Parts: sequence; structure tokens; C-alpha cells
Amino acid sequence: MSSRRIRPFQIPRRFVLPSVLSLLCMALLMVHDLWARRTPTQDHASLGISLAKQGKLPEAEQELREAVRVTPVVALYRAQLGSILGLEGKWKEALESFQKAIDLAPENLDFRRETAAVQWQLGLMASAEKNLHFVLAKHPGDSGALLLLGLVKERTGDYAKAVELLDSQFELVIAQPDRTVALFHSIVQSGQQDKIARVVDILRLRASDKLWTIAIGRCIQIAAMGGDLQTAEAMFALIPSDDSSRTDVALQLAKLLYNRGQVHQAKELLSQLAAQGVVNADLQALLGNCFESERQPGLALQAYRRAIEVDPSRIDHYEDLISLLLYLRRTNDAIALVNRALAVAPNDARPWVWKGNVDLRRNASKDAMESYRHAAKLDSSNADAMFGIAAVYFATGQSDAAIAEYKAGIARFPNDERFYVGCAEMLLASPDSPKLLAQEESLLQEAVKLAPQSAEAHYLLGQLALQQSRLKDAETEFSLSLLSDPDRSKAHFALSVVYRRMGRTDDATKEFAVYQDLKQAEESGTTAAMTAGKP
Amino acid sequence: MKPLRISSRKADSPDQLPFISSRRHFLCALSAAAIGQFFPPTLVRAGTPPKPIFSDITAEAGLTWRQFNGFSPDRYLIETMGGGVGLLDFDDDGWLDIFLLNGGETPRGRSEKSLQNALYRNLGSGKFVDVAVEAGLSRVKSYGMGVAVADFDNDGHQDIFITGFPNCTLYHNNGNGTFTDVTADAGLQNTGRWASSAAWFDYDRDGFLDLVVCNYAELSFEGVAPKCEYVNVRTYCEQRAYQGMPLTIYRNNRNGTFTDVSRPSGLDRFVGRALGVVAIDIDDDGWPDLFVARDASPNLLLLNKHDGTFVDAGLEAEIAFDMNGNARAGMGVDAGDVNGDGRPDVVVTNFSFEFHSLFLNRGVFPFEDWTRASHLAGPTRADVGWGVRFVDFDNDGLLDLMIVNGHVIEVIESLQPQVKYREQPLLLHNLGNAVFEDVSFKAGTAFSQSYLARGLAIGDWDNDGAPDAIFTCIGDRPVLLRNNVGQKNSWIGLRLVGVKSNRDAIGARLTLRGGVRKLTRWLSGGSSYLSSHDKRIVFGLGNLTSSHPVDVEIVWPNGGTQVASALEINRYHRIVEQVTK
Repeated sequence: MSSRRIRPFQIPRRFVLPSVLSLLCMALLMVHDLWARRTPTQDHASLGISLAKQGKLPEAEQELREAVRVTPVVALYRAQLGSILGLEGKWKEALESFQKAIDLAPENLDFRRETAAVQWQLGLMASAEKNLHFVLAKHPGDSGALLLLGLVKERTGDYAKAVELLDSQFELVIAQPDRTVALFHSIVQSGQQDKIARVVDILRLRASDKLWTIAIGRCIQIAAMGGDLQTAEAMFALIPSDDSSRTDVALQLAKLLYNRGQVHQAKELLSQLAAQGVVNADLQALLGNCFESERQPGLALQAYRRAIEVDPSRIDHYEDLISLLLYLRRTNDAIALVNRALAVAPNDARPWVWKGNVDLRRNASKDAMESYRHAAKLDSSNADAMFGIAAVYFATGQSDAAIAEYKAGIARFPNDERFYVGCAEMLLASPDSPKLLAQEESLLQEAVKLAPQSAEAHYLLGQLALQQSRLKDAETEFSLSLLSDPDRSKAHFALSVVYRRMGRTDDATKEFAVYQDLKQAEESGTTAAMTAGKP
Repeated sequence: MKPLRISSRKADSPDQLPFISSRRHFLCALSAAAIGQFFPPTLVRAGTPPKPIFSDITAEAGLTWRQFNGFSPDRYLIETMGGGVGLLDFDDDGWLDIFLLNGGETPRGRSEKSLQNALYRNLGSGKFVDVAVEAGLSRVKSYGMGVAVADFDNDGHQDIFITGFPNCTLYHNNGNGTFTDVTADAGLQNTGRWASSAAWFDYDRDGFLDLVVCNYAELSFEGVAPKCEYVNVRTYCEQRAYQGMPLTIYRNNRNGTFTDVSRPSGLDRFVGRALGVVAIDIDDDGWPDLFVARDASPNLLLLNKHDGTFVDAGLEAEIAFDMNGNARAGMGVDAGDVNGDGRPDVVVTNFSFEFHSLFLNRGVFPFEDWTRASHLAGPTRADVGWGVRFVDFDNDGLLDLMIVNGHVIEVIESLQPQVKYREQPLLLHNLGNAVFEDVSFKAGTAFSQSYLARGLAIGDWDNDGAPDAIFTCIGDRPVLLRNNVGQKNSWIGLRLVGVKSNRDAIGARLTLRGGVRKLTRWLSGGSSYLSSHDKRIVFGLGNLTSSHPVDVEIVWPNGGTQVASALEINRYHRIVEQVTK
């Protein structure tokens, strides 16, 4: 089954830019005040600013560079150039320009504040904080600096301080969606639940504004990640039903819930959307994942099929359905679907890998090998293809070839733990396994380093420990394996062996009972498929 | 010309018989002497290639019978599971005879001629002649699977129990070269079940042999057969497509009848695909236990609770599953002391890539899985194993292993290049401490050819002290092997006769002391796959000379201990249980 993971929370750049832009504009406005005292050099500067106002940033940059070239000792021109560069997204050059301005006029608080804004943008929080403290030391009530320091604190994880600072500039904060998101994030992270309602009220007032809908989406994610589903749902209700982003926000929220293991909530949300007539392939695919997690394969199959019907050209949606069909031993259905995927994307390596998987399941090892090799030819960076080749060797008992392929996989894809695990598994299964313990252990330790959650790596480490009668280690490893995959029947069995050897008979009996239930479920599917004439 | 009987002495004395030299060896000796008259000895040696460990003498011995398996387009699993062979001296002439059980027809797998079992009478000359018709054993009454031979009524004659589908059959030996079907009277029909291996053993130690029957799986020739394919080729379904069956155990009522005690004994709770069984005292409490090899069902270690019930210690012994919790495809099984510690260890044959298993009995649970350490894993990796027997083929005192193999899927070679459909038998030589060396390459042509072998029985059919063998093959002739090396070492053979114990002394434990040697053997019930062995025990004595007589302590099945002292080596001895009045 495929896993859909969302990266850890971070505020995207598109939400952050406006905060800095507004601060940079202060520098530009400041230039206006000096406009009356015109010099030849000022012509370049004033022209540049005028061009910037028209949105002609490259031309503006050129004029200001000329001003700086002609009069390099004027800090103002350098600051203005920094502002233009910032507007162009050339943050490093902007910072350089601002720092030269500060060198020329170290006491200028505006330059310090602008520099801090750029440093914040570049993630240089310590430097930004230093400049802001400089400003606030001279001018403790500087609202811009307080606001910016609040944003810095939010970034550095000092959420309580961030709330304090941002709350002190509440009007400034709620003027911009991204600042409001930062405040909301800080409130949730610092656990100041009583402050949430105030922000939600602001969001409710602005919900009809397109710009704010995105911010609401972000806040929904933040609330959901913080476990506050009630707030997340309340905010989701704020998004107008005709808003095109509503589905995207809901999907993001559902993915988040799913990845956090809140499958039921994710499924409910997705089902509501579907009931409202939302037709979306991603929605159906995720719904399928939810059904599969809840062991409802029939409903999962339906959802996966709908995902493909919504957008048959999206090749990635075929994978879950093929995998599930194989798991259910509906090999013929899987073959039909693979052929359909191949018709859609004959030059994509993925459907060839899936074909290999199907071939392997129906014991057509030669076909499987050809499929995987073809996939590898189409995309040499496809680790699944190489893993498949090794799996064919494994399945056909060609252990030496399998080990060689896994080792080649390790060399080619050193960060893919599956090759380490596969190689160790082959060595463990070999007649000479007792002589290879050190090698097996080393491979598995590497796998665990790469993928600490690898259920199979922990399981095999447990087996190694058990072979050496290191019962406590074995118990730990099997338990870790079950943490990642609680339905791994063999790990329950192994744990029962460990407990029996430890004399913990009750625990052994309990684990063995779980193993039996899981095993029976696995085998009932197998038997049903076999008697139906489908190998 | 009839050979000498093993014993003509009274049955109540621990007597010792004169050395019996077979006519074959006598003739060989004459031939050698004759050759020596014409050629210098060195020339003779140079021109004679060393004999292999075993010679295939099937044709030479006159074994022409072929098994019929009812091979059909329906691919009923039973077609590929049979059949059994039994070694017994049915006519009490001192020579082991061979009973070969036929398979049977399936709805679309019919035979052109009438099917017959074979009973090959050993003429003692290295030749055999089929007397099944005269003996009343020729008729195939059910689809035949296994053979279990024993003297169930203690009348001194070997009887034959036949397993199969849908009925089993018990033939009583009339003592005059003929048999009578007494199944119905005995109550051993086992109707409706697909029975595989069976073992005679005296589980309640009352002096009469009881019977445990392995029932494999639910089967019916009516309706549509389960259909399975590999790469679009019809083949046999995996065993898991067939529901397993409970074990059956019959208690001997001492009057020619039996009672099904599966429920009170608790054995009916063990539902699974049982194929092989050996009855032996695993936990050294003096009562016979059962080790049951099962196919994709957990193996069982059924400990005798002395009260007519059994408890499974398979999990505690860690013999039920492999390390991943998968039940292996257990087929054949045998038990014997392979490491010289006086405890019975267990070997189980399995499917390809499962390795055949060797479990060392250290006197405590769990058993030690010695498969890899014994070097058994390597040679058995690609094999599907069936018949198996610990046998000291070279009489060096260490139990070696003979295993016969053969796959069940005809197209397997196109799927798994390292696996063959027809497979070679294996002969593994015990190097000591239960570490084996594969000596198949020098074991003779039978070990370099490939078969669909199933049943395997061991017995000294030429009475030379070197254990010989026979194995059966699906839809083919059996293979009869003559041991060419065992005679080169010293040995001693014992034929036990129970008096208070069951007459065959099944369940006896024998401990031999001679020189520095201490060897332990058991007269177990069942073992191997579908087959029945010579009931004499042969101890290999290596280079022990005749100046070192040996003592053997016998613990009889009923618990009595008896010591036979100063036994002469290189001959068989008939030892009768002493009963204290």
C-alpha cells in the first residue's frame, strides 16, 4: 500500500513575502521625503523608485545601481537598492546592500529594521534578532520592529514570546493574512487556547476575501496538526462553499489527518465532500487509503476505481488499486488494470514495475524479470525496478543472484533501506546463515539508520538476537517492529517465542493468539483465491 | 531352497543365533575365489571399480510392478501423494519380503488393466517373486496410500494395515502365507477420510499395539475438483486448498477389535494435514509419544500423559512452525539419536526452500533447530522431501540419513530454475556430532538419477547386517537398493520378541555398550512416509573386533529392563522379553 506523507509543517514562502514587502515599502516611502533635494545622482535614484512603483523592477534596479556607483557613500541609495533587490526576490544581494548601508550609517534604525526583515527572509534569525533589539533599544515602541521580532520568535519556536509580541501589535498582525497565520500558529503551539477564538473571529470577518481563504486553509492545517479538530472544522466551515480552494483545503486537511493516523476523521471529511458532489481523483484515492486502513477492501476498491475513472491519465492512481488487487489475489483483475496503465503510459517505468509485481504474483518469473528490466531501462533511477529484479531472484530460489542484486542496489541506491533489508533477509535464509551473522547485523543496522520505522529491519534484528539467545534484545526489536506494523503476524509469533523462552507464559499465549488471528485472516484470503482457480 | 530361519530356539530365552551367511554372499565368496584362481590379486583389484555404497538391483531382483496414481486432467492432489511400501517377513522364513501398495483410479484417471498391489517374496537369493494374489493382498480396494506393518494380535505373524481413501484396510496374517481382510470386524475402516501414514504403538502399555492414523485432508472425487494453474498450466492445487482432517487413534481391545478413542485421547482436536508420524518416547518418561509431520499445518509433538490422553508440546519444543510462524510442508519424519547423547532427535522432510528440518533433543524444551549446523540445509534446499530414515548405512555407529525427494508441480522447472520436478535421493553421512556430509555422489546410480520418489523403507533384506533400502515412485517402479559397504564394519542385529510387552516390542529402547561405545536406538512405530521398516535393530560397531563382545540393555515397552550380555558381533540375535513371575 502506498503511503501519502506530507512534509512537516512550515509556512510556505508565498505566505511570508507580503510581511517583508510591506516593511520594505517603508524604505521606499522614506525616499519620498528626500525627493525635494534633487542632485544628478538623485535623478537615477528617483527614476529608479518611480520605475519600481510602476513594477519595472529590473529597470529600477539598474537606475539605483547607477546611483550607488556614482555616489557610493550615500547609505540611502544602498538601502533603496536593497529594497528593490528584495522586491525582486534577490535576498542575498539585498542583504549585502543593506549591510553596506548600515556600515555607512550604523545608527539608522530604518536600515536596521529593513536589514532584519531581509535576514528573517533568509532564515538568519539570530542576526535579525540582533538588529531588531538594536532598534528596540533605541525605540522600544517601534511597532514594525516588535512585529518583526514576533515573526522571528515564531520562526525560532519561542511561541509564547511570539504570541506576546504579535498580540501587542494585533492590528498590524490582522492586517495581513500571513502575519495572522503566524500568530495563530504561535497560539496553537504555545497552548494558549483562550486566544484562538479571537483570531478565528478575525478570519470569519475576512473569509469572503480570496487572499484570506488561503490563510484559513493554513490555519486549519495548524489546528488539525495540533489535534484541535473542532477548531479545524469550525474554520473549514468559514470557507465559502463556492470557493474553489475549499476542496484543496479539505484534501490537505484529510491527508494530514490520515497521516496522523486519524483515519476515521479523514474518511468522514472526504465522504462529506464526495456527498456534496465534489468530483476529485485525489479525494477518491485518499478515501481508498482510508478504507484500506480500516480493512474495508471492497469499499477501497470502489474508491480507487473512481479515482481512476475521474482522471484515467493520472498514472499514479493505478498503483494503489493494483496493489490491493494483488493483496486480494485477484490477479486477473490486476493484470487487466496493469494493461490499462501501460496503454496510458507505455514509456513510464512505473506501470512496468507493477506488471512485474503482477507477473511475480502469478509465478511468471520470466515475465516478471522482463518487466522489471524494461522498467529499469526506461528509468534507471527507479529503485523499485531494481528491487523487483532482486525479488525475482529471491522468489525463484536464486539466492546468490538475489544477494548480488541487493548489493548492487545498495551501491546504486544507498539511501533505500529495502536493499539492505532484502540482502539481510536472503543471508538469513541461506544455509550458511550462522556464519554470516555479523554481515546480516551490519546490513540491518544500516537499514534502521536509514529508516528507523522499518518494521522488517527490526523484525530481522529480532530474529538475529533470538538466534543468539539475546532475549531482551529480541523482545525490543520485535516490539519496535510491531510499533511500525501492528498487523505483522510473524512479529507477534516471534514475540510469543521470546516470551515463552523467558517463562512469560501468559504473554506468550496472548501474542500467539494475536498471531493466530492475523494468520488465519491472511490464509483465508489465500484459500479463497486458490479454490476459485486463481493462483 | 529355503534359507535358515533366524531362530529355531525357544521363544522364552535370550538366545543367540549362529551367524547367518546369505546364499548370495556365499556365492559371491565362491566367485571371488574362482576369479582369484585365474588372475593375480593385483590385477583383479586394478580392474574392479570400487562398488558404490548402494546398488540399484530393482531389475535384477525381479521387481517389475509399477505404481498407478490415477493421473488425470483434474489433478486431484492424491495423485501425487502416494504410495507406501512395507518390509516384512510375512512368511516367517527369515527373509524380509516387500509389500508395495498401489494407488488407484480417479474419475478421469483410469487404468487399462486391473490394479494390483504387490507382495514380493524374498527368495533369499537376491531374487523376489510377486505372491500378492496367492497371499490375498493383490486387490486394490481403495486409493492406496500407506503401509503400517505389525503383529497387532501378538500371534507371531506380521499383519498389514493399509491407509488410503476413502477407506483403510487391515489384513490379518494367517500364518500360512495368506492374509484375511479383517477391517470390518476390527473396526478400522476409517471411512470417508484420506488417510496417509499410520503407526502401530502401544500408547497405553497394555501389551497390545494400538494404531494412530494420520488423516491428510478432505477429498472427494465427486463434483468439480479444485482448479489451480501455474502460468496457465493446470497443476495440483496447494495443499491449503484442501481442508485438514483430525488425527484418529484406535485402541486395541485385545480381541481383534479396536475402539476409536480419538475423542477421549484428545487427538481429534488436532485438525490439520497430517502426513508423517513416528511413535517414540521423546521425553524419556517410558511412555511412547508421537511426532506428527503436517503439511502447511503446524507439526505436533504429542506427549503421552499416561492416562490415555496426549498434550501437544509443539510450541514449547519449537518444532511446530518455522521462525516466521509459517507451518512448513512437513511430509516424512523419523527420530533417532544422531548426536550420541541418548535422546531421540527428529528429522522432518519439507518443501523446497524450507530445508528439511533436524531438531536436536537436548532433554529440555525447546529443541535446538540444528538444520543449518548439521549441513542439512544446503543439500535439501531445493528439494521436496518425502521418505526419510536415520540409518547407519556404513555401520560406523553414527546414524546417517537417507531421504527421497520429488516435486509435485510438473512445470516447476520453468518457474524456478534451481528446482527440478524429478529429484535425486540424498544420502548424508554423519561425521559425528550430527554434522552431515552429502555422499550421494558416491552412493550409486540411484542417487544420481531423478525420481518422483515418495515412500522409503529401510531393512536388511539380504541379512548381511548392512541396512538396505527401497523407495517408491509416483507412477513408476520402486527402486530396490543393496548396501555394499555396511558389511565392511562390524555390526550386531537384534530381533526383539515381546512377551508381556507387545510382541514386536515397538517402543523398546536399546542401549548398547561395547568397547568405548554407547549407542542408543529405539524400536519406533511408524516413521518415514507411508512406509514400514524392518523391525530388527542393527547397531553399527565400526572396527570393533569379535574379541569385544557387547552388552545391550533393553527397556521393554512395558517398562521392564533386561540386559543381554556378551553378545557376539556380526550376527543377528533373537531376544525374548524376560517376564518375572
